[in-house]
Amino acid sequence: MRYIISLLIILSIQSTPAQYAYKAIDAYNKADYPAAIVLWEKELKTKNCNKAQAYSLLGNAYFKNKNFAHAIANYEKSLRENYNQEDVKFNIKVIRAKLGLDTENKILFTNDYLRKVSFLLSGFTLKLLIIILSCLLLAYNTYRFFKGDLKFGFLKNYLFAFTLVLLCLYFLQEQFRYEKGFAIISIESTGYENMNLKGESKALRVGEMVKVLDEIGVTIQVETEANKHYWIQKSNVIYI
Amino acid sequence: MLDKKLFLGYFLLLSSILFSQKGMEIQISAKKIEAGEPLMVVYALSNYNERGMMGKGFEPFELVGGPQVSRSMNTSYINGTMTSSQTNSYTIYLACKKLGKFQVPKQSFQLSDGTAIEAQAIEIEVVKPGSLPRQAQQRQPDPFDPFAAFNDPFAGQPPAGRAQQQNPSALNGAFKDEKEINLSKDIFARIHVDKSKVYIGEPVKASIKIYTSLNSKGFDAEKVPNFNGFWNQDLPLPDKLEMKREVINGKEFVSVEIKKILLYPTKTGTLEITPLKMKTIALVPVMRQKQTTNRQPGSLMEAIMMSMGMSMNTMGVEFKEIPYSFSSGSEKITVLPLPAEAPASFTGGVGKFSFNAYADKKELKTDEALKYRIELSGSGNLPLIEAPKNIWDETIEVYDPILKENYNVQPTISGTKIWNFVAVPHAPGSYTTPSLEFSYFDLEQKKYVTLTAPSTSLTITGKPTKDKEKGKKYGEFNYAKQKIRESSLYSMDSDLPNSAFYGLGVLPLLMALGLGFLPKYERKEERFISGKKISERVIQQMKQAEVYLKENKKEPFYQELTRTYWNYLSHKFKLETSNLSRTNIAEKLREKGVSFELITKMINLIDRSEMGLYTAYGSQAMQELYDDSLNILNDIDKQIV
Repeated sequence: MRYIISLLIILSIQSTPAQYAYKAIDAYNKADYPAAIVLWEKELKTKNCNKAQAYSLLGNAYFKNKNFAHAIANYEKSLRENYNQEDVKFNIKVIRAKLGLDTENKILFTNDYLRKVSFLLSGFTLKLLIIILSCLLLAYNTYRFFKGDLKFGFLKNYLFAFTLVLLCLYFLQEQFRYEKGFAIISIESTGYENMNLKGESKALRVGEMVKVLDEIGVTIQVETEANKHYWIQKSNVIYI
Repeated sequence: MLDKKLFLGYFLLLSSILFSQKGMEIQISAKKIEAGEPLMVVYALSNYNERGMMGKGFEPFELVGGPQVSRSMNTSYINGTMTSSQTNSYTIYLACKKLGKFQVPKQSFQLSDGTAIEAQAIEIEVVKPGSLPRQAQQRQPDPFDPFAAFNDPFAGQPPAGRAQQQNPSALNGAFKDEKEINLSKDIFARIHVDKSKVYIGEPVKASIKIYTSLNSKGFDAEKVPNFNGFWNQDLPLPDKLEMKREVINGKEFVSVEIKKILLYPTKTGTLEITPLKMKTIALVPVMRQKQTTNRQPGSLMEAIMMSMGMSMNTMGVEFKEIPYSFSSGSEKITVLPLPAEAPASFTGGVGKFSFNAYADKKELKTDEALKYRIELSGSGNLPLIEAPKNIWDETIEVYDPILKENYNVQPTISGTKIWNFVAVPHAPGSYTTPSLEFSYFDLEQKKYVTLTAPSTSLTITGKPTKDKEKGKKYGEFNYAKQKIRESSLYSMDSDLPNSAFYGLGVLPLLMALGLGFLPKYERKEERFISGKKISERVIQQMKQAEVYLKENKKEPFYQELTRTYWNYLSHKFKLETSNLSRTNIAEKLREKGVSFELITKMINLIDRSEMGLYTAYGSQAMQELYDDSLNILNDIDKQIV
């Protein structure tokens, strides 16, 4: 019995929620931003991490560490997890403005309304609602199959439609959450129109968000916010 | 005219020695002149007590200048007796437009005793313009200024300048031999500065002077001084260069200031003003060795020089034209840096200034222009001072200022400098004009002084206007000025594993969907009549009849029942309904091995249903018939294999 209890205690310690997060917040408050960055990176690897908040707080730490491209990248990741974070969007705009970029990122804020709607409910809430409603529907339909319709049986159609909508929202959310192929320029770099890094060139500024279209070796083709295609060094961007 | 008088004085001084008794001498600048060219005629009257010149006609010549009268007195000891002589010279300038040989008419002078003396007529040949080869001609653009040979090294063009400084003392030191000539102590230039140690920005007054004790023909600059490291402002010189007599080391010189300049050092350290290099042709008195060649005088200058030369010749001195280059020597100025602790608003001003700023309105509408003026006045290096920094609210568009400067350059630069700004507000609200600070270094107190101009508060009404460039509105939120929003909120995220979601959510939903499409499950009904289980097939056959029974529809019920019997039997015997009759039913049933009793019941059943149509039996009878039908048909079904 004693062994079991001690085992339970060990397990509970191991699964202590947010073991790095609080240290990271402490480090941040003490203005030890590099330490905060390391701790948040660790926290993000744990289970049950609140990624939306963790990425946003990591972004704050990067910002304070004057690492603006990384700050933007992490805020973007935070928005992936939960788009309806006005503070994070605000912070992105602030940093972009400080970097001299347009505050309305054309790539970042695409499908703005769709994203807002799909992130109205958190993934967890959506999942829970879908499970409850699905089980309810299944129970009723089973009853109906054998015993016939109940008086309020017509409601099941509405309920069904609602559940489907929730399911769609959930998959949309997943779609947005795992959307890949975007990057933030981390080093001011020259983009070329040709893939052998020749031809017409344009300077891409730090903090600019680009869509990665193609990748060959160490170079990638990106679409800039101005809808232009350039080839740049892969090492000059942070994937998000 | 001073120089000319000097010159003539000099000439007459000599002549008075030669003509100590009464006499008259006529000098002309040339015997042959070009048409239109001025001719100078000098009538020198010695020891006459004349009243003046009686200006008779000069035909065919025109009087273009004069007569100018100059007087000179000379007292000298000769062989122990003192003689005093007075010479009056009358100079006239004549010009002739006709060609040919003409005579300048006789001129008469009225004497104080009423008589008159007459000067001789002079024969002059007038030729076509340009036909006389003369070098000196070009150097005499001004007929009244025959010495306009000095080229201002700074102006780059010959001003109405002066060339020949002459000093009688030069004659005292006639060189014995041409080879011995060393003019370094006779002609030189100097750069004078009023200070040699200054702060950066403190003005230095510099002047460049030429000193000469000899006659010379024209000064040309070979190399002008270089004022590197200075901002310089030329000071005006009088229209005619001023000649001064100065005695240096006991020797008398004529000095001319050819350049006056204010220098504002712009960098620290030792700054050097490079020397001025000039060349000239000096007329050096040399002891005569040979007879001078008799030649036609080329110009007025030469004529006079020759005449002098001739007179000198009698004394054994002649004038040689010696080209001579000389340099002024460089001047060094030590520039001290200003004290280190300069205020932030210091923009390089050194001197003494006052400062103010004005806005022309206090209340205005958006898009209305506000005139704003920054005024700086005082003395010091004003031209070098930049506009004080003025930072406006970004919703107020400020255009580049228009600078208005008004300086006096003497003794140091002083005046006002006004920057006129036009500011256009784009967003309503309360603003203030920038509070301005201006700092300068006070040379008297040797410290920095900071002046402030109060700011004016502005009230702006109206609607915000658009920024032309970006299409953004003024007064809009500026992200770049914001701080990021930080929160240290962190809460655990609860998540359901995907397996649970798909197992408990998506799968049940799909199942429910599937179930929803299925019809209601209907269990096969088992009916027991008189304790016997009726087969499903029979119930199915009797379904429609049952419906009518429940609805208590008598007529359709019986008809349906009858039809059901015949259909049932024909199906059983695989016969057409038309081939069935009451008689062959019994046979067929018997063939199939149905008991006689059951056949009777069946026939009876058919009779009852057919009769029921026409009898008044109620629902009770219908139920009975239905139950019997089920029972009997069920039995037959069982017996037929």
